[in-house]
Amino acid sequence: MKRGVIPDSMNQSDLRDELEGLHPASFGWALWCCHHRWEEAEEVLQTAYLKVLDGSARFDGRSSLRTWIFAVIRRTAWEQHRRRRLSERILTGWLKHESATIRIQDPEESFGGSENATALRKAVASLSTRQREVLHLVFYQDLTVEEASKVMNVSLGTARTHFERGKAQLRQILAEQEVAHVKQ
Amino acid sequence: MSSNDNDLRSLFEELRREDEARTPAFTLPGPSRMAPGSRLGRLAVLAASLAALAACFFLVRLMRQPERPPGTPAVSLTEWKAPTDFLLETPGREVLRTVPAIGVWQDRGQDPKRPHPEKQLQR
Repeated sequence: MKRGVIPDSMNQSDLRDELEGLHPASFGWALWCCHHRWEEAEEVLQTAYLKVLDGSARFDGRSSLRTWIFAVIRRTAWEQHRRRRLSERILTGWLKHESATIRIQDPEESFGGSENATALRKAVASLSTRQREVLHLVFYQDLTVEEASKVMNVSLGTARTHFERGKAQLRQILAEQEVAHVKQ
Repeated sequence: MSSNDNDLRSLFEELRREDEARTPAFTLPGPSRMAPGSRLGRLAVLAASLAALAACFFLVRLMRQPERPPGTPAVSLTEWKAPTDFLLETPGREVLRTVPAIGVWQDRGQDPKRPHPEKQLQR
């Protein structure tokens, strides 16, 4: 069976196999949805798997399984991010005097990796969310722009616009950082 | 996507290789999270909390209601006067209730010797 295509009748064990096959790509996507916060990405992925397996996220067959799982992960990451921000705001209000001394470490800084990868992560972090998402889905996940638009829940035209603008902006930032192999 | 994007593609591939090397092993959510009744349990807890909150609210309202001493008859609606009734008694209101008399000075504050218009009417 081709990876990422769900048949009409799929039992739980088949679905688990599919999830396992897509796990590295799903984790990469979750990582990007969570701005490379490792623990947050793991939590998002577990919650997304739970949604898929217990049926609270339903596959309607309008796209491939991979596209659908990516959309579930994206939504879960967004929900979790919103919850986290709310709790952080409440906590900051309570611990106002203590918050001044706490410095939250930038995950982009602490992630490590090769020079090019670090430069790319930093450059992509400065793009808008939509641009970042479409570039990741097309270049990192090898999806088409049309598939990316389905994951992002936007029209194809919107996805194309973000893709082109994102590419131009990314090239400019990378050129300023003098990253190797990047054409102006 | 054009072939000119190969530069960006190669950078992203490098990044993907790095991420894949660090990807944690595939694990499914634990049995406690997978339990089918977990959502129902959460809903039950939520419903119970709401019910307890509503009960507390009604209890507090019930306790705050002023108690009438035993044996005191309830005031009928026609006899009852609002505690803010006095606010309707604006200065100069009596002028509107009386008939003006010819040759009588209305401003009693200016000339206290002149007869009161209401007393005149009574006569």
